[in-house]
Amino acid sequence: MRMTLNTAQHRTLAATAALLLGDLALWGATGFHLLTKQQLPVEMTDDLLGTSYIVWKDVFMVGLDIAGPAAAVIVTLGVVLLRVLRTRP
Amino acid sequence: MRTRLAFALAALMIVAAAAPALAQKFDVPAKGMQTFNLKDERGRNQASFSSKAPIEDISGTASGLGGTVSFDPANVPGTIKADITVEVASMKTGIDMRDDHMRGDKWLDAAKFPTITFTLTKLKDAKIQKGTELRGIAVGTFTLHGVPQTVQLPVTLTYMPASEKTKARAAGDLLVVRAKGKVSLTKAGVRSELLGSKVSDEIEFEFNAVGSNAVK
Repeated sequence: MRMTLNTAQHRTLAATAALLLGDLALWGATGFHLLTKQQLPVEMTDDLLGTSYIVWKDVFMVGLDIAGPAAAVIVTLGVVLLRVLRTRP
Repeated sequence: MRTRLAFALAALMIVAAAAPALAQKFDVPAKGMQTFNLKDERGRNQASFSSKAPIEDISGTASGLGGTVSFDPANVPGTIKADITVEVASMKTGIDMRDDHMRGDKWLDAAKFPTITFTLTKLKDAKIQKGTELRGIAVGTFTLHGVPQTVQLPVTLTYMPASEKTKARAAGDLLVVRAKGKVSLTKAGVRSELLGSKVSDEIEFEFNAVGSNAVK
């Protein structure tokens, strides 16, 4: 059975794909982390004492814990919209 | 006769040159027992730790360091005492959710075991270089998760007598303490199905702290 998509469904499909790609790009751009990082370590040195210490810098690096559920929500919404927007006989 | 005299002089010179290296004392003005407090309000005294596991590498720090190191500079290995504590609540890895799990009852259980402690029992293989830097092996009891483990940690102590430069950091003589080692989570009684895959059983750590004998 071949399914033909109407204009609204085409737009929905394109929007879903774009959002999915955006989600993947955001996850990839911050390093494909499993968990979302809120802080990054920055090593500092004390030349006088010859010691080093870590200062934590605030960041927001999306991990799979956020990107994964976001992708699931996007796909679910896309499928529901495709179904709702189908051309009824 | 001259040859023997030359040999004797050479031997004397070698012994004289080697004597400071063999000495077990810091070449500093301070006399008697000195107690260095490792308390640091700025949080620069830190212990860092890392876990290398197949799924994930984790690294973090703990800045809630406290404790003291005491010794007589004239006989460091014979008089040294050290008690160091690290607050579990101060441990962080940069991921809030993971930090909460790490401090939770399935891992380090900060509510029940709020501190990790190290108590020195002896310092072995101590060698003092340049009069102010001691390298040796610190043997002691490392208590993690309420379970004591005997560990041997390579340690370096650097004594910095008070000067205009050191005043910028803290008052009094300063002692820089560096140590590193490994500790087993299984031996510490930590039980989790994620041990070995997401978190390695063996945790490597480094300790980097500066103490002052003017801080009480």
